Amino acid sequence: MSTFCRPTTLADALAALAEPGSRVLAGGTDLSGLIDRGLASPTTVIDVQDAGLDRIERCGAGVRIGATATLATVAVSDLLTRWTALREAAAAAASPLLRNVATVGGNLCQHTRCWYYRGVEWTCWLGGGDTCFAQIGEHERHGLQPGDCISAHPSDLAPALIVSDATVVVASATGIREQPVAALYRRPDVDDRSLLTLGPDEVITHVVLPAPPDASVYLREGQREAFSFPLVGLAVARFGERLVMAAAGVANIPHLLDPDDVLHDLPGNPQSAWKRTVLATLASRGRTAVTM
Amino acid sequence: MKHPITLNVNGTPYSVDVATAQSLLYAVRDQLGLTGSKEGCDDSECGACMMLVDGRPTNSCSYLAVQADGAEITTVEGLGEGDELSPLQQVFLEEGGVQCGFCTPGMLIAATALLQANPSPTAEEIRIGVSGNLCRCTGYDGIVRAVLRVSREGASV
Ligand SMILES: Cc1cc2nc3c(=O)[nH]c(=O)nc-3n(C[C@H](O)[C@H](O)[C@H](O)COP(=O)(O)OP(=O)(O)OC[C@H]3O[C@@H](n4cnc5c(N)ncnc54)[C@H](O)[C@@H]3O)c2cc1C
Ligand code: SF4
Ligand code: FES
Ligand code: FES
Repeated sequence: MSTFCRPTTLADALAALAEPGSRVLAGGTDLSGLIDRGLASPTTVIDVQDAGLDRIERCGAGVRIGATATLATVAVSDLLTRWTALREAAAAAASPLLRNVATVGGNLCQHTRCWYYRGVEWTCWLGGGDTCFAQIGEHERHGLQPGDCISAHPSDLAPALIVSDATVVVASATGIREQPVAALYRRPDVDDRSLLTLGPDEVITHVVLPAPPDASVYLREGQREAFSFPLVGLAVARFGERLVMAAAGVANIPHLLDPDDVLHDLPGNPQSAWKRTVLATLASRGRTAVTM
Repeated sequence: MKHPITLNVNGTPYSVDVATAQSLLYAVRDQLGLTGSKEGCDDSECGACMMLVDGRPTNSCSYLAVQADGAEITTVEGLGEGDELSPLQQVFLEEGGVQCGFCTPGMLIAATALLQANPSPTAEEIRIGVSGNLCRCTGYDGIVRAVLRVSREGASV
């Protein structure tokens, strides 16, 4: 059985998080389901919604977004008009309702939606078992990279932030560090099956955007227009002559693409290879959109 | 461990003890006995469990009861007055917005929130507003008609 607290300062949240077994809850749209299914069993749930981390504010030539700002506020923020890909990604994620509750930090840290992982009947490789059931079962919506876990990264925001050269500020009771958004993620291996690099006592406090790109766009293919995870989500940004592309839905973490060879490293799995065509198409549309 | 919390549902404060993992939906259905809100998917996909939490439409299946401590909650039971249906509920019936009725409690909550934020939505805006609510019966046309009519008639929702 677990306890619950809702600290009103970051310092109190960090102190609570320093206790082993505690876990941050923001909007709860992902974590409550994981708790419900027994896929997460924190001893203390720390609700950070009142910890004062929800502001979006100017920061030098860029913008600083609090980790508990909702996707809905990001999608319409006047301060973010020059980060088109980010606004488009926030506006495309999930449904209007979820966007009202879901936060930026939670979106970046949400766990895989692989239905084998989420099913309570099995423990798949990523959950600590021996078998990736997706590879012997259905994986038409999974990733394009072979490996132990072929799940598809679900966050629309992550690729949009990565191409914007964004960083995350990560705090714990012992200090603060800042790192590129891409460095939040790691490929799971036999010894450590986590997809995130965050320590158990760490919380994302802010996402920092440096000066905006000259142009950017977020393109996605979902199962239906509203309310579905990205099958393939592609963010493209242009800084002068430099093009940056990153995608969700193609590997188990956000994937940085080589703009001149977007399918590099993404051979596809037997049932998911169709995503290669989608990715290539989105990439050529994205390139046109940011260079026009 | 159980937490003592207060849920203000449809204007009435209720003191209940809930486990951390208890969803708002089950606190309201099982502990308060208000069974209007339904469980379809238990995963934020269908909207059958939708409630207003401090005015914000929320999938209560995926919201912990402890998160709602002290909040003002509206469920479908709070829309009408006793046995009197609200204008929105009445036109849902008249326009064919209800068939089996399973999605209806959540659909009404989504439509209420939409009309509060935007009293004169277009058909497209209504479809977007209820895009988190799945209905397998009506094809959504009756629902869109009903919301358009209420907004046209200017009745308070
Ligand atoms: C039906 C459905 C459809 C969806 N469709 C999409 C989609 O199309 N695109 C998309 O991108 N997402 C989609 N999502 C996922 C949704 O966007 C996430 O669930 C949401 O963004 C998570 O945010 P939250 O604030 O609710 O996080 P929570 O559920 O509170 O937390 C999620 C995880 O992040 C951790 N966490 C939260 N905040 C922090 C922080 N500040 N620092 C460190 N860790 C933190 C928590 O411990 C937990 O592990 C969908 C979800 C559902 C249920
Ligand atoms: S793809 Fe990953 S999460 Fe899904 S079954 Fe395989 S190991 Fe588990
Ligand atoms: S039961 Fe909550 S969204 Fe389906
Ligand atoms: S009326 Fe049956 S699901 Fe909508």
